[in-house]
Amino acid sequence: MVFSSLACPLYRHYNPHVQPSPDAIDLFFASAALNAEKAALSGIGGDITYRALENLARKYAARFAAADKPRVFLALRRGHHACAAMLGAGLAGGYYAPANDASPPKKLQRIAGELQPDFIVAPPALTASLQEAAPGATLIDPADVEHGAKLQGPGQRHRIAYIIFTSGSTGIPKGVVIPRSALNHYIAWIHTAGCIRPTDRVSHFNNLAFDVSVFDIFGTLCCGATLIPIDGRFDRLMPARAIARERITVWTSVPTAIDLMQTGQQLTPENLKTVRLFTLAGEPLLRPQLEALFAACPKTVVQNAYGPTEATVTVSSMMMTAANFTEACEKSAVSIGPQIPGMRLHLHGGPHPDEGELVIIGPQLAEGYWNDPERTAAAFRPIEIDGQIHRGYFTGDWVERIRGLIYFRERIDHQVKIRGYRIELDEVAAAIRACGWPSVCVFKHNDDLAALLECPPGLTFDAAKLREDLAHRIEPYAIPEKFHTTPRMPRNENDKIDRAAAAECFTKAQP
Amino acid sequence: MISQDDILAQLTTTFRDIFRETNIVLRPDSTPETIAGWDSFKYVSVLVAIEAAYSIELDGPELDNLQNIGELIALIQSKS
Repeated sequence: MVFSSLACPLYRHYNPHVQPSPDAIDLFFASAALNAEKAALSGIGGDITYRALENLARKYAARFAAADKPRVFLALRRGHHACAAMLGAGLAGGYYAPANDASPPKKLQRIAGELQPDFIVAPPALTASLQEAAPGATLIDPADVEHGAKLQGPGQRHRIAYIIFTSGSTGIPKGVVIPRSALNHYIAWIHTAGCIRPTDRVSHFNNLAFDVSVFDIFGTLCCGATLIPIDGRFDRLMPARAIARERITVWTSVPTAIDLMQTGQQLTPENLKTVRLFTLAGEPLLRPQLEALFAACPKTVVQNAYGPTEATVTVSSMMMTAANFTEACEKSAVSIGPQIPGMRLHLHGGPHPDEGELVIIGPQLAEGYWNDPERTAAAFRPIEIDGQIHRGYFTGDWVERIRGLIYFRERIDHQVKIRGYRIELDEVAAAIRACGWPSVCVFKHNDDLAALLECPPGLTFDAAKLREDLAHRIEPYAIPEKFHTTPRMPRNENDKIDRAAAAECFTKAQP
Repeated sequence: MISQDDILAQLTTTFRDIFRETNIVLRPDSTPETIAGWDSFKYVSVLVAIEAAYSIELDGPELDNLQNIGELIALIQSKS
């Protein structure tokens, strides 16, 4: 298979079965050479051309090259400085760790303290507290970089591409170390699968610390497409209007953004008519969200992309159209799709081969967790399949294969024991969703099973009716004793349900 | 032009409906931090209700810089 249709010459003779994927930094510079005057980024603040972005990346690289194998911590908003600093870190033979600049200062401090970077790139308002956590780091104010010298030439490459810190169950962030070869493999899939093409205008809605932003930034800039940062408060509240204004062709976000568009009465054919692909990732996609999207955009394609940060953003993908999406739905769940080329999904430890913990094998696996060999050894383990030993990432996601398609069922660590019964919290949540309550969080409260449900204004919640409906779906012992409703489910910075905040909300209402 | 007091009274009703909380008292210096239960979904619902009530269309830069309810009222006055 040769991808001669892709504009970048580095793909012209690329065959993923016989050669390594092209380097992401090289792809960007090749794209910049081909598209020098084209907008690399576009938005309310104006356009940044590929030439200007390359120049800025080279200026960041010149600053970073003052250290050997520079380790760069970025706390920047979406935009050309964040992109240039990421590219510059790679060009200078180093790697970067991005943080969400809107995170609480204490969280940013903890990450900087764990990383101990050589450089911190952040606006002046953040630098004092970050410097306190990483006293050896050199501070770089983005405003000062524009006037600096450029690093010329192809530069060097470190084996690590980036480190993304995710929330650890202990409260200490885990740094997931992604090798450059894994990033390159992922970028090649984005392009060869046609997720992003050179003519696309791609949203950048995801914050930098959420690894789906890698799809946005590298997927776009490594093929000569145009990135549209969605950074203003209004645009983030009314994303469909930003889609219409910016003529976005590829939209990427968590599925909750679709709910936000519905709440804002923006899920209309007029607003979304330019979008050829919705890539939804980061949390389970639900059938009602798909139905709403296809009702507004019957000609679009929706991709349900699944993957943990530990396997470089995406390892499986379900592409759906209005004509065939029901085939990928099982009750309210949507299949996570087949594995992407080069990756392998194995179901481990279940009662039969079509059910078990999902184990991921392949070139996109992380090296492990930053400075945490114990946790690395626990999650990345050898696994024997068909007589061969592989390095696998044990996801903790329990999945099921139905009619050949894989469906996410629950997190393994979401199992509790109540009055001697082992109960899978996500199974109970799925049953409640199937009863018409799409946003729900189930947890153990004291010695009982409890559920917090989102009940938007205008709806009436009837606990007795729900219990009656649940009795047809799950065992009596798995029906929650306690229910509480909230107008809006608590969600974290990445718009995923915040289980701790949901439990706290419940406890406040029913101590 | 609709008076500031009238808009404040109408906004208070809107917030009470959307938040399903009859005790909400809005003041010009009210901010998201002082309104219990504020989140992005409620904010969107408020914006949609304002656009419908005053037949106006809000947009990005003018909303991004709002600091409090008083500034929101001034914006509504300037557009309606």
